[in-house]
Amino acid sequence: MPPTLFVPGEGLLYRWHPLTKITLAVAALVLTLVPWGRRPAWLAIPLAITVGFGLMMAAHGRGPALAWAKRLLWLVAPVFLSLILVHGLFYPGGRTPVWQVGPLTFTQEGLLFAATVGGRLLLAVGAFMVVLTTTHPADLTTALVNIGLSPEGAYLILAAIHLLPRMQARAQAIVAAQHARGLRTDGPPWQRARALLPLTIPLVLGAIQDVEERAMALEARAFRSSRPKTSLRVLRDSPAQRAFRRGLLLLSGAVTLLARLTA
Amino acid sequence: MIRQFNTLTLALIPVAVVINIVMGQIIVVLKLPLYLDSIGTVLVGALAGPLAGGLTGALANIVWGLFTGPTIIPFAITAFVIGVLAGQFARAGWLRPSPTSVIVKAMFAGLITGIVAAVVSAPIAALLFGGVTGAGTDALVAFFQSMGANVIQATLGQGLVSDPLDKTITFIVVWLILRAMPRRQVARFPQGDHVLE
Amino acid sequence: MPTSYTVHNVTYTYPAARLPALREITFSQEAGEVLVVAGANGAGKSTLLATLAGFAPHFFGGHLEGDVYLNGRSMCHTPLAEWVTSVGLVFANPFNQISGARLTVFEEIAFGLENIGVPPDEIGRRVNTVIHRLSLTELANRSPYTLSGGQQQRVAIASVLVLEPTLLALDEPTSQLDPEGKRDVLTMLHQIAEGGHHMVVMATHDLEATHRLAARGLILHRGYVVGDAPLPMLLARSEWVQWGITPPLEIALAQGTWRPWSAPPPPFESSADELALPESLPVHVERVSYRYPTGPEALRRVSLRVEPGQIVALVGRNGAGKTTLSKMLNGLLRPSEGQVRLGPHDVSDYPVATLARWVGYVFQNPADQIFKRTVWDEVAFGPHNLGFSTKRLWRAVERALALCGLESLAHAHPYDLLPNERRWVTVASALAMETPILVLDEPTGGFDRFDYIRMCHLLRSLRAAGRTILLITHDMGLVAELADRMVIVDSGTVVADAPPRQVLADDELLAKAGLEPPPTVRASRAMGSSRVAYTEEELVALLD
Repeated sequence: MPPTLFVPGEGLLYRWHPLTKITLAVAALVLTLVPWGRRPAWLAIPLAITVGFGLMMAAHGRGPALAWAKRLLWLVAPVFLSLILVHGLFYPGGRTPVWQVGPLTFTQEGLLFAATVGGRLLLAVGAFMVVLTTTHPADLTTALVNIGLSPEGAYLILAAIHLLPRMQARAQAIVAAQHARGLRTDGPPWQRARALLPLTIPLVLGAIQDVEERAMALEARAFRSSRPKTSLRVLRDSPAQRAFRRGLLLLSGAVTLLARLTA
Repeated sequence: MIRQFNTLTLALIPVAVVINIVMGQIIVVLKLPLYLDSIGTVLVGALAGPLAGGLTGALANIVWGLFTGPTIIPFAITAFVIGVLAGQFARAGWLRPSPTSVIVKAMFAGLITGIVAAVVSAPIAALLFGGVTGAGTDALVAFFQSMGANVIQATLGQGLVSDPLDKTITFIVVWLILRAMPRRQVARFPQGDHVLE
Repeated sequence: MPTSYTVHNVTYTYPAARLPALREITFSQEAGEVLVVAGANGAGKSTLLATLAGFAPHFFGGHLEGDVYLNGRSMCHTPLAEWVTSVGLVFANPFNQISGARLTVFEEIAFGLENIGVPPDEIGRRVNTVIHRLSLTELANRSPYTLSGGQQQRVAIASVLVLEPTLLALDEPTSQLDPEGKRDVLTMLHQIAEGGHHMVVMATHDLEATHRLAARGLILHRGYVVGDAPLPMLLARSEWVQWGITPPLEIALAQGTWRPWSAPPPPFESSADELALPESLPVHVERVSYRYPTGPEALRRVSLRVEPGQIVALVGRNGAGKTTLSKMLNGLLRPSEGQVRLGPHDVSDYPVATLARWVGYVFQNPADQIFKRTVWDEVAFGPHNLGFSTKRLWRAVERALALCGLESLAHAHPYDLLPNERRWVTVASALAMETPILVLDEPTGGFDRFDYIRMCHLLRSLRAAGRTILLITHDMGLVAELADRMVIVDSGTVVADAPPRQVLADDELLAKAGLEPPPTVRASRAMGSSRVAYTEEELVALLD
């Protein structure tokens, strides 16, 4: 399997059912998006989820924890920078200047907006990143099948993941083959644009040529059988986790409703 | 919903998902200021219908999210809409290649799809990301805000600058791909008759 | 257990096709029998297997008359998803048969059983039995995507066998494998045939490798069954030329009908003058090493010389470094150490697009380059990029098409061609660029005897015209016929560089590099001759 964000490891997060982790991440996302204007104290819930996740990651050893932290930083740092520059300087509602740099002025409202969006983003992305770091894609799809995704849907996701390296290798082979025929992929923009079709068409037509055979291979393995399928891969779950998931969803829903009504 | 697809469509979708992703890499080789990351989505829409196209788009974002991070997953909604529109345009015959070059129709379909994509993306981007992505195009958001636009308007403005062009070129490329495909192969797909010369 | 099946008067027409692909086919097969289906490209072999497996008409659509009966059940009236548990279909491309939905070989083999709802503990038992029986134990926990083509094909076979089909239908199961993979898959098929649990039917071009497997043969010609008899009897008949079949060398020799490729009248002779170029360039590779950015060292201090008017064959296992080495010639890869010179030019001084003027390259997979709507335009793409004048371009394309036998297909859609014709398109594409140096990577893959003879003549003429030719191939026959030197690459180093007959005489060296001697060597040994025939002409001389 090509390198997704999943990092093998051991610990509680790896033992939890994927749906438990997903529910926590969804709760973190939903509860950051609620208008908390008057009662920011409620933000403690998503904060607790993500910080709790982070602490658990740290307890799981350096490998997964470092990978998680590094990727989170990579993903949100550029957005943070943009938020501060774009909204700190040009936020439509910005009135109160806090810092003057040459002709540009950072406003309090703008920086507050940037901080709000950035904070929400960090919490939600951090939580979802824990799910992706500690859940093997195959377990993730199995979990989704458990809550109603069809096996066909699971196939679509896993097959795409598995096809990626092959198609990347083909893209390289195509670039090599057309270079060898004198195709130029450098120079002025029109020359580079002319190279688009000689590279794209073999990639797409070659891939589509395989589609019929891939479909036949699926049929040959009774993939479209109308009998109920069984699964060799069984996920560990527990009544406690099931109850927790249900409780958390209820709580998130109730709190969101409350916030909307009192906003 | 997925169960209704025939096996050929099922086998096509993951291949198209990966085409979307790999096209991004070809664009890097060519250093063109485009994304062209919905070629697979539009192609499936054209060959297998709106629903299959939409699903391809959404899945591409989810699968790519498993590799790069969850931030692109919300835009699965935009990708879904692009696939559905491509499917509808193809059903209406706008992507049908013909000797008398009706590429203009395909371009127009791309243009409309691009505008719709920008409109759908803007609220998602504004709500979740304050309209920025951390890339150079964020300067456009700043520009529109300095002209007096609010966050959603500025985000929409940024989208309207880049999406219609990108989708127009995407539809042109798909039109040329459909034209290059052997007829026999096109005809095998559920909506093949609508895009045959 | 059901013990036989019957094909009853089947005529099948693909959707939108005017003529049937199969016509009035009737035969049956008994338990324990292995049946080989032979015939030319397009004779209906794949269609027949697809019909047995229910794909025609259930998957392809189209129109089918007649029926296939297995254990009293009618194929036409059984849904495909049910029928596939009785007839397992395996085809040529190993990669495409891996579902992509499972992570390990064990899970991949289990996939079919999950789909028909077998309880998990029973799945475990059945998969283990198959893995054991087919000697796949070592692969069980590997990812199917990290396996070699031959290993993947064995997994594909196991994946349908686990459904315990009455009939195993194999469509060219070894045609896309390297010699080692082919050997392993054939060993497995022998084992399955001897096991007697399944009836086996196999469509194949490669009678040389498979004729010992089957007792009975079925020959198709334009959709009709033209022969149905014990295989040796069928092959003893002389119509095989018109059926487009290449019988095993030994049988053809015994029959006295066999001719070496160089036998007169030469069907494809082209004059050396016509192919001569104003410029000729030698290739000098000096102590080149190469390390992939994310991998081990692919080449270690490799040196190689090819002079104009020479054919040098580069052989060895897949992944030994042959292709890596050849990509150094036109700058697709740049050496980490050492130097590559084309005559006076140091390759490192030029971009790839410039080197394309000197080095023509025929790549292994035609699908990686073909993108135009006609064969003519496709072949013209290279010369056009090199800035040929209209007149020169036209002449170069026409000549290349003629040399490759594509004149009548000039306006055909390349994707409508047969695989062997598509390979010729890539050969023509390289020839039309009129380069003094030519690199050909597996140029005879998927070729029949007729294509093979044409390729031999073409290479000989190009050599006579002073071209510098590097030939990468698994086909030791081709090497023995045409190469001036044979270079074995093993784990990134050159382990032999000498005239072919010298290298091919060293059985130990060949075995170490995963190579097999040419069929002529085996044939001459089988004849009990004291002399060994390395080429087809030498074999004829032995016969006289």
